[in-house]
Amino acid sequence: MYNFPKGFYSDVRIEDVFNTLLVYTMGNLEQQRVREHKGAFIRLFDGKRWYYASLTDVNDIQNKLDHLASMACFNDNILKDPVVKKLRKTKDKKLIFQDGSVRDIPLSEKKELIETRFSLLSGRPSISYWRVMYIDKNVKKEFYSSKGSELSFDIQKTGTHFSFKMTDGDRTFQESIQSSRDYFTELEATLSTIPEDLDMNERFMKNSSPITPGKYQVILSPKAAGVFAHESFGHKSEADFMLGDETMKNEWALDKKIGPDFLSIVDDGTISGSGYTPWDDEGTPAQKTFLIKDGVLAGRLHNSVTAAFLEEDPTGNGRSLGFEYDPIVRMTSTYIEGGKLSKEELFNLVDDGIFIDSIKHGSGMSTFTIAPSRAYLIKDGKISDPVNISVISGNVFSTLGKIKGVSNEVTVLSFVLGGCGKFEQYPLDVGLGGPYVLVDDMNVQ
Amino acid sequence: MKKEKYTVRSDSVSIKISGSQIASVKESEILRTGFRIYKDKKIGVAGALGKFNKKKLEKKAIDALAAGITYPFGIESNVKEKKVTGKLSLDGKWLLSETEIILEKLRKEHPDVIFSHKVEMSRSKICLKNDQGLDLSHETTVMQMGLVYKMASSANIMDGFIGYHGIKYDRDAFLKDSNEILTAHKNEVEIPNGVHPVIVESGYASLFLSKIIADLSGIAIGTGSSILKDKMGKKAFSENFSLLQSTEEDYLNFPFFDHEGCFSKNFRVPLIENGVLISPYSDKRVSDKFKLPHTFSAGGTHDSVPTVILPGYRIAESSKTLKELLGGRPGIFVKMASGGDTTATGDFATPVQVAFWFDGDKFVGKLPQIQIRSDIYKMFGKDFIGLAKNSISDYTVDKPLVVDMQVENL
Repeated sequence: MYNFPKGFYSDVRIEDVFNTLLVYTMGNLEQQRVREHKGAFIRLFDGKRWYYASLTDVNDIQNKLDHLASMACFNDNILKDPVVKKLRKTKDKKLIFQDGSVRDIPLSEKKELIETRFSLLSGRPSISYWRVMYIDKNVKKEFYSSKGSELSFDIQKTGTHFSFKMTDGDRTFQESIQSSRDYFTELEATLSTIPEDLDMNERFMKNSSPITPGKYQVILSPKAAGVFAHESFGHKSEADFMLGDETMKNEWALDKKIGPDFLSIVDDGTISGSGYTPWDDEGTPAQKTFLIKDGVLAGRLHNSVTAAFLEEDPTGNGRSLGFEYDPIVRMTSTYIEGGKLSKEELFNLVDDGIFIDSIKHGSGMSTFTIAPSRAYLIKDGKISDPVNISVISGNVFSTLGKIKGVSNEVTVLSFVLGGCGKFEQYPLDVGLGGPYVLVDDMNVQ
Repeated sequence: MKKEKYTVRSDSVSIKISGSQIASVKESEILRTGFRIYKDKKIGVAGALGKFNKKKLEKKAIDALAAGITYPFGIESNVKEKKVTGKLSLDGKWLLSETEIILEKLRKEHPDVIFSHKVEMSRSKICLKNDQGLDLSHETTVMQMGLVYKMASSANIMDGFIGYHGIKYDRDAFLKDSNEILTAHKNEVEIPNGVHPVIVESGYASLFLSKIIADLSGIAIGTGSSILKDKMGKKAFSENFSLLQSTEEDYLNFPFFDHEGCFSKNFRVPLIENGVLISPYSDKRVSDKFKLPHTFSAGGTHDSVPTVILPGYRIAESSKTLKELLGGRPGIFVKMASGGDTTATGDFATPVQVAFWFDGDKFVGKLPQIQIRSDIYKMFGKDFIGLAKNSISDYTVDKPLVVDMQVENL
């Protein structure tokens, strides 16, 4: 396919992207965008440094490969380099979205799907502003490497996003309802709960009151638990933060007990949804990786560079935002595994606490934060009054130790808008979720 | 039928740093083109990445008219203006050499610190032309120093960030400032809970302003969904607080013209003046729909229909230096704060991951993790102290913003 320069490791990733965006504001079509383009990302490694190029003219790939080689230092032993040894030679194909591709769905059907729901929003006096979006994306990737890899695979998402502002006198409340699925035909069923969701948000807007800041027992919904797992622990498990850093290497020594026995956190790029990627952008297959298993630090996320540094195996987490970016260590679908308690049994453990139902965003370093959208007091195990909360926060490690229980049913969510950010590569599609999770002593503002 | 073309050419050289060493060099050349057709009060847009067939793209834009997206507004005509911002040249070899020098000096001065992330030079040229005589272009070359640092003994994934985004480069000044921050970081200080002056650089002012910006949108005001909806024309904030939409040359993230080819003569539009809400921001569509002033606030991607955004903005400077604004009180200089938010009613709270004690002249020591809170009416009302007239570094255009806030140790 390509004449890979000798004395180097090199690979070529070509992305063929199809993307639809429809935006209606208050019922008026404001954006109708159908993008179809190709681009390529080229990497070349001489054992000391990587040399990258991203380009939109895929006919120029060979020239760019040769140009990158001219910048690098010839290395006759490149195949013995520890990083190169971690990169596989695989020839395979997984084009699972050829049937049911969003490329083949007429635009008129995509429009009809959402236009028929406008009356749900326009007919509600409390909604002062609304916007509806339809989004889909189908990407066919090809990957070729100097070690002989030849891969082709596809990923796809399709979804709707209903955002609205509710107003009642001086009270305002902004929320959104989004659905994301792999196939267009799956979307219809997700829209049936919109009226109930709108009722719930309206009640929240009218009845919520500010929380008294302090420390509370908190139950996280599956979405909030997923954000907690992603932000508080997933990012810390990305091994590029450990490069050249003995302290982090020691701090993250595997087999260390860091949470209760019932706590397991997983990253898995093989499951369908936003985080699905059969191979990462270095040609490594996806896998299920336990970050915490039974309360014990069990693994971390790698690309080839971090795997070589820590003398472990790549985990299929070398991902990029698109052909303009290099693959760095990123999560796929990250979730907390379920426990033994039913949801009701978990809530019954709380006499006086807070339930975080929906969230706006989260972040995580040593301290993680979650900005709730809808939250409620819990009184004697029952969800009661709605409350306004700016942010809940806690130290990552001490919070892991404060997890008192998890329910038994796990929901892993996909998203059509937003995603994970790491430096300039935002938003990357990821999945996240978990069961309902009870945490003691959370800082609530 | 009228035709318009929007192009964005982005070239960059980016050097990635890992474990205090150069890990990679990346070259990128990306061309994005949007073609717009206006006919019968409708707009059709089509886009392309890289090389494209002009006839095919034009046909795609003409076909897009069938979507029926209304655009009953005149397009700009007979204006020709060109700006070039930044004198640095995009030179990969020079950037590689400079990065090696910077890293060598930082490694020598701070062997107990690990550096990562990237140094980048990028040049973007944005052009908007049409067959009615509009011909606008803005080329900007920017240096971005972005060094994440971590103490070698720390169990955090990162401890702080040094860097800037600007059109100038001064190696010695950058190293001097970096040394001051890194030295202060190694000196841990404490702060009592209470009200203190909190400082952020103007480039980071969205931390405090995001709610006001969102609720000053013409759509939010026009639909009545803004908490500021009943305050237009009234004094809602401090006499000393003025907020301007700005696409002046030193604002590097946007061209001087908006997505519809509009701009004000001095590239400034007042939104809040001396505490009084003057105008929401709007593009042609929002201005027309809600009968609001047109503030030249259209944005979007190369292939999108123009939509309302606030392009650049700035808080009007005070006549005082940062030291004068602090008035002898030590300030809390926030360098990294993520995860906070503002509620629908305007209450604001955020954890602060990295903050320094600042004595008016220099960074003294690093504070433990704290939380800051207030609400938008206090922050830009009685507790607003001002935006300093001076930058803390010569190579950056950012200026410090000072606000009294409730500070608590976490």
